[in-house]
Amino acid sequence: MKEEKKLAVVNNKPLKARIFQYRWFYVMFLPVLIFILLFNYLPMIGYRYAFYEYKSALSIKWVGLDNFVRLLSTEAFWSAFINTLQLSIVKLLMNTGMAVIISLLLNEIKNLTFKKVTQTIIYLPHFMSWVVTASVFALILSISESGLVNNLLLNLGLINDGEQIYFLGTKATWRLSYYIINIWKDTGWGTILFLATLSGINPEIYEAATIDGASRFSSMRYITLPALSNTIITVLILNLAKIMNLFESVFVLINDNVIDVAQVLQTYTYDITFAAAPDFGFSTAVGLFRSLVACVLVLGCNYASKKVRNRGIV
Amino acid sequence: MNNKKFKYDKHQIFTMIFSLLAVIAFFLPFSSGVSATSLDGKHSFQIFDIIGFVFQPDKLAAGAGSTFYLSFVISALLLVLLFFLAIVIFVQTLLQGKVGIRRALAVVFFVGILFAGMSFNSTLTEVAKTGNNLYEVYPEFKIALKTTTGSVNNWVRKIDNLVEEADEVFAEYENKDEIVVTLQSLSEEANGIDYSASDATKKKYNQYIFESMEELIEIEDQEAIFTSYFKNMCKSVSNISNVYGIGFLLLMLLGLLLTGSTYTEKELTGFRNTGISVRYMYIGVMALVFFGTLLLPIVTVPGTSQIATGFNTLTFISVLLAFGKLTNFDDLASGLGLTLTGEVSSALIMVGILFMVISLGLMIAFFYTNIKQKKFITRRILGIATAVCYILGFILANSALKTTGISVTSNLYMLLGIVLAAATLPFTAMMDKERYKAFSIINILIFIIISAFILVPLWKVIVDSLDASAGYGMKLWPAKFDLEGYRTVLTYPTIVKPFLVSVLTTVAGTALGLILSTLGAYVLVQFDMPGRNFFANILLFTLIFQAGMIPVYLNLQNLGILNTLWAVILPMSINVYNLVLMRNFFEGIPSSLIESAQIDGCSPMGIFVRIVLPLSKAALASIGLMFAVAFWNDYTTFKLYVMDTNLYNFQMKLRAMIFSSDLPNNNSISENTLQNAAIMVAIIPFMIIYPFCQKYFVKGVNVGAVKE
Repeated sequence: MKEEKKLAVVNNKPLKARIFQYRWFYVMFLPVLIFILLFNYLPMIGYRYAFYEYKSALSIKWVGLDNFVRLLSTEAFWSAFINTLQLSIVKLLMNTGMAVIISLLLNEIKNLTFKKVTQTIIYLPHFMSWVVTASVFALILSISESGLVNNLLLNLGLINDGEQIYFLGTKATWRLSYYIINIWKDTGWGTILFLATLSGINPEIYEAATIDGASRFSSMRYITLPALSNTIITVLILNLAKIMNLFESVFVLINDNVIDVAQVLQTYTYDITFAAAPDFGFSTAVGLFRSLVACVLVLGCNYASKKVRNRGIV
Repeated sequence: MNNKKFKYDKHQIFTMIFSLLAVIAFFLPFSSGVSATSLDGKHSFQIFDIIGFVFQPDKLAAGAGSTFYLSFVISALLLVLLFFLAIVIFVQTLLQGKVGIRRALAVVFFVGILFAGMSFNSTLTEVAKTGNNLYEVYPEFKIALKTTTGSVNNWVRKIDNLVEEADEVFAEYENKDEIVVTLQSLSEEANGIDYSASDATKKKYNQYIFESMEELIEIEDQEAIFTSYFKNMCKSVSNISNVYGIGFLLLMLLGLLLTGSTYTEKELTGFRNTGISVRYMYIGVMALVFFGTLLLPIVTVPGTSQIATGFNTLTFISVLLAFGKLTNFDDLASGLGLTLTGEVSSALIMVGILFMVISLGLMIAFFYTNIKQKKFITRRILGIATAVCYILGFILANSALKTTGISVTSNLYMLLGIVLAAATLPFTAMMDKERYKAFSIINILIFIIISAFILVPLWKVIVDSLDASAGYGMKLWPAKFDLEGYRTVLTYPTIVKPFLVSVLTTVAGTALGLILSTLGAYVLVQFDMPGRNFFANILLFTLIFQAGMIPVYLNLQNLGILNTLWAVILPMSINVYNLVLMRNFFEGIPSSLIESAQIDGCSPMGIFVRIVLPLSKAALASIGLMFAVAFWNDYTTFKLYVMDTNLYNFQMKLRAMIFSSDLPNNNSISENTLQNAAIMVAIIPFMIIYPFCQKYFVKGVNVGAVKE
């Protein structure tokens, strides 16, 4: 985090006096510190089990890097790793792209009431939990008679009775469904930042451009889009840092039929942890690997962010 | 300059003649189509059969031989192309394009429509011929085959339907079981046939139908039963020739109106000056109406769409057109295959139709006044009146039709009415301002579609949760309104308890989270405080490196709070993102305020409580809401760290209800209704507060990213 030191009164008092002056602030920070230590730092000790074989509390034995060696040769792990990258990156690009397009179009709407109502509607799904989202779409995409999409296809004559597509249970359609559900849920919310940037553009620039004979689309191309580019990069970087955290959205939509295309690192960890004969050592190693990759990503994005916008993300 | 004395020039007259001819031409394929496929003069060919045929070449081949498939597809494509050509012609006319081009296009259109009509006709005749041999032998079976080719275009499926319907239809008949068995075997055999294999299989199919029918014919009274059964099937009154034809007629009327209004030089200039928006608006509206009428009948209630296709608005109008020839309404009704129950229904339907016709008139008036740029208030009143009349007429006719026993599926037409009504408002407002261009209109249409994409799934949940009958595709409102779903969810102990757990964790977690965030954030803005940077780094490191699932699990176990609600409330209430967000808010408080308080001798705590917090109400609301949403929606933490089913929160319960059918035993209500009601209960709390709190949420996002 980049700290802009406030140009307040320069404090020249000796350290002890300053500590005394701020004594109440230390008391105020104490609960935060305790919570952070208890729930964020203390658990990290648990990572030591990544170097143990831990099949039950009674048999814990040191195996060094064996878990990691095993990890790198496990096919399911690599599949999960690649799925994590693919799902989150495609999702990120689709959501951001859609959000940019929607923001640009929404920015062109001059009727404020219509704009506000639209914004209210498109932000709405963000507040649904993933469980609710998954439930709603499981019902809509189902093959039963209440499945809206299949009924539509049926009535259009695109499929026959009995050929209903089980969208969330078929490998070929799961990812597409997943991306569309994500667009439904989060694209609207993603427009907030872009809209804020757009409202910050000086309208005089547009007026000048119009006087110079610029069409709506060339204004959009040469004024709006460049103004937005910085925000787009920011959003991409902020979200790229989080791609390893992909969990709940997949977890609520995954099922045994689509493991190959849907399993991500977090769900994989969950599965092997709650498997019939779990090896917590191995699961922890997967978790540690994930955290390390995430760590590298965050630091990389932070570096990129500093380069691009002179400001880190953490 | 004189409005009343303009003369039509020859190309304008040509446009009008063309319009009339095009209307007639457009009806041709349908009238001939009717003669090719109707079984009793009532049942006509439907446009969606074309769509069905195009996507099912094998089925068509089974009916008429594969050589006809090509001509069929070509004529279908031609029809689509012609529609776009019609739009092009209108655009040309509106923009006063070159006469030669318009004329040429019109000729192409006219020839094309005739060709499409003939081509369809011959193809369909061929399809219908297939069953001819059978007609000679068994009159009632003729009806069966005719119906099959004409309306379902899929024999197998029709027989399957027969099996499904048999129970109901033959309920009174003593040999019911025999019929069912015969039909079932028929269906099984039919399923086994490879239809792509042309004549041989066709023969085989005919053969076994013959045999099966011979079995059937031995059953007494079968003729009467079949007659009544197929009479039911023929209730399908929504035929597309009306929809298509009248939609087209509307376009033509509008086209005439438009061309008629541009003839004086003054008006022509005025029309052009109003901007291209006016013209595009009309094209937009026309396209909307047209596509609306064309596409909406597709989305009917499944299962019933083939047997008794829903009534639609334009059928009402066609009924009215036919009305002059009939002496009483009951004749008309029976002519349409309807069974009306009593005077009330007839009267209601008539009033409903009347309203809809009025709304049609109003709509035309609305267009006209817009073209003429009449007073704004007049236009808006007309727009609203159109919608109101449409909806009112709709409700009346719809409720009356329900008593006829026909599944009324026209809810979507209602939707069309509402969309049109919604569309009129921005349109009228726009007319006065030149800066609105075609782009604005398309843009607004895009957002109407996006909003629909967001809202349709939610609306379906709402409707299904209130509907005791549940099930079928998309309904605009519940078919059988009932609050039993909500009552069950809110009274069954196994569901209420998780709900209370959710409330508890949300309230406690939000309170604790707010306390921790404000305290931590306030310390972080004390830039002179020794150790402040160290504290900041301790917090920020947790964003970079996090403990995973199992370490956290073991930690909670060691702390002795695993499997208690503390395992959710405590870890989630320390959220570094929210803390940094709060810090950003605090930085926005002018330091002069704090300094003057310091000079006045206020203690740091005093400043915090008396100055910082009161100034940060928006921030507290924003971050409080974020915590509340996170706690209310939490599923993962519960799933991972709380195993005791007694401590599940509502999201956990909801998950179990939907995906494991873990539902309370209540026979009076369908599973689907209950599931949807549970979903609603999970989202209602935030649906209620969300519109009032939207600005706080938005503020939170902006402050978080912009100033971080």
